[in-house]
Amino acid sequence: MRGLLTVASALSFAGCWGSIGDPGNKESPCGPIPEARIRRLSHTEYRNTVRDLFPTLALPELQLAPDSAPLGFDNDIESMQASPLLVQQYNAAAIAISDLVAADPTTVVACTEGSACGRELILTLGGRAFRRPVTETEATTLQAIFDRYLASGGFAMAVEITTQAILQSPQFLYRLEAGTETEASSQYDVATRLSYLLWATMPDQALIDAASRNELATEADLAVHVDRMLADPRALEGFMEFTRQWLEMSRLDRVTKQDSDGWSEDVRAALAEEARLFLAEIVFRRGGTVADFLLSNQAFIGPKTAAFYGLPAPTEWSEVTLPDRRGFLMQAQFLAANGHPQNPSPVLRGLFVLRNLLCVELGSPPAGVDMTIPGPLPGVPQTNRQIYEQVTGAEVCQKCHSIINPLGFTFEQFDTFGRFRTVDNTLPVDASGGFGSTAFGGPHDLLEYLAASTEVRKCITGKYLTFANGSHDGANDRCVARDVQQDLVDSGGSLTQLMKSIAMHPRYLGLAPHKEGQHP
Amino acid sequence: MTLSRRRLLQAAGLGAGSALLPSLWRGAKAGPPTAPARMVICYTQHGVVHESWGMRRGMPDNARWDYALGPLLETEFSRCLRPLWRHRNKLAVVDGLSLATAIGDPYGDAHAKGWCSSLTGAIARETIYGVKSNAAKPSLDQLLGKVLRAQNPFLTDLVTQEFGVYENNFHAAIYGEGVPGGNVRRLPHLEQPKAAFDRMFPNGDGTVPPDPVRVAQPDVLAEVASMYDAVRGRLSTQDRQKLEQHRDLVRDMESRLRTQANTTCVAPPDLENWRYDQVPHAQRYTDHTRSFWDLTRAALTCDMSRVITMQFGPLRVDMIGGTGDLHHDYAHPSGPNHVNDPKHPLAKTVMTNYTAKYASFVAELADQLDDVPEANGTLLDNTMIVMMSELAHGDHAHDRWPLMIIGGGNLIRTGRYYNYEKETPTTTLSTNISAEAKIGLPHNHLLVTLAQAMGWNTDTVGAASIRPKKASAPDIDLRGPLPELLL
Repeated sequence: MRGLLTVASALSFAGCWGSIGDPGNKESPCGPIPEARIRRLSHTEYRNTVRDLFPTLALPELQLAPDSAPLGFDNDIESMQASPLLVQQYNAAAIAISDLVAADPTTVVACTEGSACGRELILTLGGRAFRRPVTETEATTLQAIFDRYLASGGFAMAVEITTQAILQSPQFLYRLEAGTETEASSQYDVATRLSYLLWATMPDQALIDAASRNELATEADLAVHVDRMLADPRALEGFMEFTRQWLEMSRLDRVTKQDSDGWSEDVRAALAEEARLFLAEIVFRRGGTVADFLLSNQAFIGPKTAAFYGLPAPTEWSEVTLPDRRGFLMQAQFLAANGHPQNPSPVLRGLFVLRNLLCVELGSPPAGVDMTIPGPLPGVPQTNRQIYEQVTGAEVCQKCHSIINPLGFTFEQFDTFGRFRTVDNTLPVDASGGFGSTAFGGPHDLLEYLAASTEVRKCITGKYLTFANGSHDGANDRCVARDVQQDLVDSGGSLTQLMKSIAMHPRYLGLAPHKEGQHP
Repeated sequence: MTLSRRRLLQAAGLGAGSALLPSLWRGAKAGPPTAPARMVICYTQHGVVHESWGMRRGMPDNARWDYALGPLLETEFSRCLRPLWRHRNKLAVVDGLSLATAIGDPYGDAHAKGWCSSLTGAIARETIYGVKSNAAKPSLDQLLGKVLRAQNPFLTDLVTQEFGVYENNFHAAIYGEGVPGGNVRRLPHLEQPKAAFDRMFPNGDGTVPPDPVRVAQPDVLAEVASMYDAVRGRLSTQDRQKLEQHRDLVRDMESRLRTQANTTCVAPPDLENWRYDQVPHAQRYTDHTRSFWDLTRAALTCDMSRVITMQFGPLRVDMIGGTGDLHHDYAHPSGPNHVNDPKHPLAKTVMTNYTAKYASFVAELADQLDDVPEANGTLLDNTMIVMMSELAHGDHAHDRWPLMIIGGGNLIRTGRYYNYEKETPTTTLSTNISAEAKIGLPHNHLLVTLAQAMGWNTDTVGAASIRPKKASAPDIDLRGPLPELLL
């Protein structure tokens, strides 16, 4: 069932307009190291960072208005501009956190009084918050703040106000790269890039210490730290930060289903947990590959989700081997998240495959088309598939739906909750589909096709590079993309290897224009 | 636990006996000789059911006319508008406009096109990812905020406030200017009344001495702003502008806090923090809305804010007589293209209730504003409460866009029903629609009308013109107000 047709030819065959990412030009020169851009911490990074900056404090819930995600990830450099509300929220967060610090300043500094203690606070807390040693100019500025409030309000107030200033400073909220005299990234910049890519949080002391000793410069040194970081529990957070956005897992938060069909908020939460466990255990901890992600028949079921798989309900989350289902796309979380209240959506499911696994953007529906979710016509029994074929049958729709629908139809064996079915509205289910000239008898054929596809590996690489760089520039950097794609192939498709490959790349880290020995 | 509205009213100085508060926001400064113009934009979703909203009363659809609403009995008001009947002499219903810029937008789904176009008056910008577009120009409220602050240096960054009752939805209609060379920014809104209260009244409730840490905040922010100035390193021009933008916003907040420290418009007891899981949804939605109305009244009374936007998330369908999914089970099947859909009759009923529910919320705000006397009438007479939506009706349409203005009788001609002709060449790019088709008068003229009523001397909001589909037709002029509405 594996077709030789490329994605590009599949698109041109159908006459649909769209685009695919193909950064894999192996002939282009790498050029100089890309110019570093400042990056505001994403909200996840911000929350993780203050958690790690104040590990002994029970921080309150910090309100931060969501950032937009035009490229699918909420760390988009271009979109992450400050707004009046965000500045207000940073101030409120700084006040709330510093209030806790002031109640027990020993949580951030060992000494307990005097201006000299203020300097210690500035150098220790400031250094950790800025992710590098505080400069003398910065220390002088912060010391003036500390001393003023030490005189007017006492030690605790001086600690509190100084902490507020640090938490609202550009050095904390933004990743500002100082660079070096040779324009390469400084060792502290490297530590920061590593920690936010792999952990979605600030560097730990070991990483900062390594930077101070210039131990993040060679491939061998970097490998030691990257391996250590990937073995740390925070690496799962970094992986999930990418994965939840790549796989559009927040879609589940927004779907509505009929309560009378068995839907509840508990079910919603259980489906989210089901997906998290699969990704964390099968894909991440066990070093899973792209093929495992798509084809593994291992899954986790809980008391609220077992029925979706026709299995007896366990008393707690349990790993099972599913007899008839494979991979993330045949699990209930994905299937339910891409379904409407009463019917599954072959369009959403097909678009997901195109957008997130094949990196095909079809653009928007033509102007003026009715995109109402179709339902059955009265009187004549129709399957969901027949209804969608009918409402997308016009020529103007078929330009794209001739590609979308045959992918999505392969999931028609699953209802809008992700439950297996052979009959739909009294009629037998037809789950055949295809892509280009490749025909699929059902979802297993599709998943095997995707697992063997070079385009899928390229696409996932591009997605991760977009996330890692907060910009399409990352995915479009041919020099990094070609190396990372090759590493992914060499590793058999390991997704943790993908993380490592990006993290180790000297161009990504700003250390050198290209890998040693590679095409310049 | 629920939010204490009584305490909130007290906090805002609006409890019993305090309705005669003059504008106090500027502290010891004398009040203005005439009250300033204000606007509250109430943004709903899915348009309306035209047959239960419109009140053309047998007059021709395709013509420009207006009539007085005052003589109409309550029973003569449409079901959607009936909650506003008690304000009929201060109500302007505007029928027959089109979102011509949304109709002419080839990208994005119809909801997104409406959100991006209705307050910006411009065709949206396509994004690389997905079908949701971003606006290409700032929205009217943000433009007004900038103009008004330029006119009056006493106004702070709270000249506009953005509130929302937002239930896990993705819509957004408020856009601000980005850094030079960057894109327009989608602006977030506050969803927590408590957070809005804290921002408006940061200096405690007066029952305890001010917290010295709070008092110090303007100075802290001044220091923080200076840290943005001091940043060195590898920065591109755009990156530096991004930091300067952040710095300016910090300074803006500093300036506001200094102003707030000198205001007498505060008697705030503290409020319990609101938590989403503490009350049932319907009650939460209603209490949330009313809390924001209290804050809106306080902000307008004190001349703290001139423009407030309230973005309503979708009502729970069980609040209006349905079950299931509001968007797909009711909103879309209520459209006129679904007359043969078995869901259509019930959908129309539920969506009529939907609009009426919003109208009743807005009527409550109008009640509150009408209770505050000002030099030339009441606060309501100087405030235009504008109700709008991203769609005209459930079929993803943008023609015959429903628009209501409650209040603002000192700014526009209210107490009337206005109808506009459908004689503008269509702007659609759809191949399914003839180039000879006509749409309603573009809503840009309404945006200009609102801008001028607010004191902004402009003839353009958003695009100045747009191309019609018909190649041989001239550009459609989007400049100028609706003269019938202006005083």
